[in-house]
Amino acid sequence: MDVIIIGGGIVGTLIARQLSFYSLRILLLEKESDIAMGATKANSAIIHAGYDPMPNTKKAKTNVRGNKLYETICEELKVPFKRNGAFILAFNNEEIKMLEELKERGKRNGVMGLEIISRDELLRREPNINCEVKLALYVPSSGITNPYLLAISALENAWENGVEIHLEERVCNIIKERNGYIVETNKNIYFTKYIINCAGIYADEIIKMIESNSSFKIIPRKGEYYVLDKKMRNLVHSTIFPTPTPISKGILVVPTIEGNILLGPNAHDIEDKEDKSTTQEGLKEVWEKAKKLIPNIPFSSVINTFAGIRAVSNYKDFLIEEFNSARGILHFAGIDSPGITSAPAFAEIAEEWLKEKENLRLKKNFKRERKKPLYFRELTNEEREELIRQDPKWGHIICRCEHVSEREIIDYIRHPLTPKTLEALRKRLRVGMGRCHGAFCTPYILRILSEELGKPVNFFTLKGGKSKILNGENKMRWRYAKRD
Amino acid sequence: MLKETDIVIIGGGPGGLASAFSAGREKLRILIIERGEELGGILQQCIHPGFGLLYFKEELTGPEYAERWIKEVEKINNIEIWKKTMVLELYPDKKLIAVNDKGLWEIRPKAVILAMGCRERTHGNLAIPGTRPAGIFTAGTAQRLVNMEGYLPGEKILILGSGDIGLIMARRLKLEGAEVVGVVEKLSFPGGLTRNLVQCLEDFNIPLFLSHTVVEIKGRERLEGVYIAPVDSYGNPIISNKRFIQCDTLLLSVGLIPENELSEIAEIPIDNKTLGPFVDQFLMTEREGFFACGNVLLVNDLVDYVSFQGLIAGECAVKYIKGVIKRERKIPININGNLRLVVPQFISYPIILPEITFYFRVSEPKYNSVLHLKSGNKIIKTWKYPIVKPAEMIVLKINSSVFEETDNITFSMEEK
Repeated sequence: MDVIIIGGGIVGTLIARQLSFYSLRILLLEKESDIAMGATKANSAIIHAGYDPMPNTKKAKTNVRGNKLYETICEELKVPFKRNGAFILAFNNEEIKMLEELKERGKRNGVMGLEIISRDELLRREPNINCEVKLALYVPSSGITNPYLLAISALENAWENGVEIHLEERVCNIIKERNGYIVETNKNIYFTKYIINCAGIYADEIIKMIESNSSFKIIPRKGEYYVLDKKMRNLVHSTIFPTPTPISKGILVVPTIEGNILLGPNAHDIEDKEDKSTTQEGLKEVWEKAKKLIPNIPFSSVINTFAGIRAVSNYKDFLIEEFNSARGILHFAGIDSPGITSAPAFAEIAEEWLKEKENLRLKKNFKRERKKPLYFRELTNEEREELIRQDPKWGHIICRCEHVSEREIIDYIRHPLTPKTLEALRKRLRVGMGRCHGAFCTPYILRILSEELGKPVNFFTLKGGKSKILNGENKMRWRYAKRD
Repeated sequence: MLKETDIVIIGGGPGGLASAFSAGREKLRILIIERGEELGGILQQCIHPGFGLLYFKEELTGPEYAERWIKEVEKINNIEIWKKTMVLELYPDKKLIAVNDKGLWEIRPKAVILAMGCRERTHGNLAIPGTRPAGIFTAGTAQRLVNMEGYLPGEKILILGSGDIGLIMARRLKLEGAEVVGVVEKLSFPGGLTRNLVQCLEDFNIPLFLSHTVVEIKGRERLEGVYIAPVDSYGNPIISNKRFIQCDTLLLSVGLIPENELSEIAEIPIDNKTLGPFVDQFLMTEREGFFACGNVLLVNDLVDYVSFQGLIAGECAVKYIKGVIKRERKIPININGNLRLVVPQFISYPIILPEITFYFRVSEPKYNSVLHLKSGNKIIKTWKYPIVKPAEMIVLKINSSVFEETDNITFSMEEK
């Protein structure tokens, strides 16, 4: 291999795509059953403007650059993106001072259009905000997207350009050789000239494989969220922040690009990198703090809760480095917020890094653009009618909450990059992500999976491994087995 | 494509079938739009007996009950049935857009009957802390998997919520050979019908943990178990007393939510008590020409009530088209005391119907209650109830003449 990319989150997938334009043999390794399983899946889905990081840090530079790149990248990859703007609220004099400071910092970082607006103006634009607010900082360049869909789309594009992708393959060891590295995984051994470490919360462990006395350490920081029903779509249209603290940007109220509302996240350091559980106290904290921004949120509008883990490190900034002792490995480590915003800028950095080492040639027929899959819910009635004429399965709606047709499900099951799990389909199509939470459509989706792949219904998993959806045996067989 | 018809019934479950049957007796064109592959709705997966005692005066299984109605409806020539068809949009002027494998349909009926039923509250709605593994199902999904698809969801099962579906699934899974470790209920009294408590839990020695709830979910890939804890008198869990119960499956039977998303798109006002549309004695919503029946109107205990409501909605939709229903004025039905909800929520005049059926639910279980019907402060009628429970609806048929000469009606449930 020329390049092995470790990790299929937003950072790894966007880098894979950027490098896929060149004549390189690239392999992306992901330890989970699907890509975008870590922080890329569970986050606030905000494209930050860049007023928050300290000037001249890598965070500040990549954040502002990444934010600028989002329009193009989402356009090329056919992922929804919207500059919905953000308001940072100040409720007292101390917070007002902080707003001034943020505005100043934002200017130094190169963020355009920052403006302090009055309470009346704010309430005119967002009438549901707590009316005790004093002032707000308006941030027009703040946006929202769907980060896991962006990662999936980037990888589909990279795959079309020839990148190889191996799922459920975990890197166990890296050994330095004269002209490159040997990468050992749980399944294979590879030789590669270059490695790009995008291993998220495990990036420190990858560093340790070649730099055993490195003091770099990732301290997982959990954040919990509520998801509200799409009925609440008019609660707010912009992203609503409290005034930030040194540890986090605070608990926000964020519209998602799909039309739901997210409340969260809180921030608690944890020991276990896999502990994505929500807690009683944590959820309570999120609820109470969100209500300070927007007082009238009915609990009955909650359709889900989840937790995500930020890859916070003991290094204050993003660690983007090639160590002298291990040339040829580029690390992207400690990528916490604003990592998703910065990711397109990371792809540029990786590209420049490789250009300095190799004479990169563009592939002849590479594609920058991904063909947009058709989603029933986004089509006009005329387009729907035409598609149903071509294939009646377009007219059979399986997911009633998100309006997903049988045709879309079959197409995604047949796509070579789609893992055959329920969660993989959810992420790609939103099937079962609506208010009924798959209560109605799960049996139908299992049946379609079974028919498409010729496996029994109880073969399939939620998200790979031992996450079997139906733990019991087929009823009939079970009964006969008992009789013996 | 355009489709001509007089009445559209959204939903082919028991409510939709009964309304089609009663509307179909007149020579109007009726179209039932059903999302699923078969008529009968959730009845088709309810293979246990206990249906039809009120309506047919005999005990039937869910599919048998559905079959009787389906046969009747299929006999009527002016009823058309579209299966695997979903209504995407419903407008205040009664225009609707539906989709099926033939294409997209625009329909402009003279009346619409809402019979979409309800959905189950989910794990996400409850915001139970913990992980999000495989192995958590609503009781209804598990019922479909076991009874229709032929698969067991798991082998060691805990059920949260003592609603009827949860109780019935406890027995069903036990009969299929799974181990049912218990039913957990947050309230101090069970949510399901007494007959189900006896026949589904007691007869099978399945423990019921009242005043307990699930406080944490454990397991990364597949469910490994849950923590349950007692709750105090305010319903807050006492976490210090939590204990672990090992199980690979958690079924939720924690309430039903009428599926009024389409009603909301059509700007039909919804009662936040019933979570269904406000209706009058014709089961006509505040938006004229739209009727509602069954679990989309309010969550019913018995399918027989759903059918009765369907019959009224169908009959009155015909009356509306013929111009018989005027709604010259309307008065609200007030409730107080131990009453939590009432249907219908208001009366339209002229009343036309000879009698009005009222459905009530109480807030708390109570012994020796009386229900007064008052006009202003004057008690017109009184009913006695030795016992009332939130799980069991109170149904009263009252002669319309009582309501002719009044403009202030209150039902009040009081202790004797």
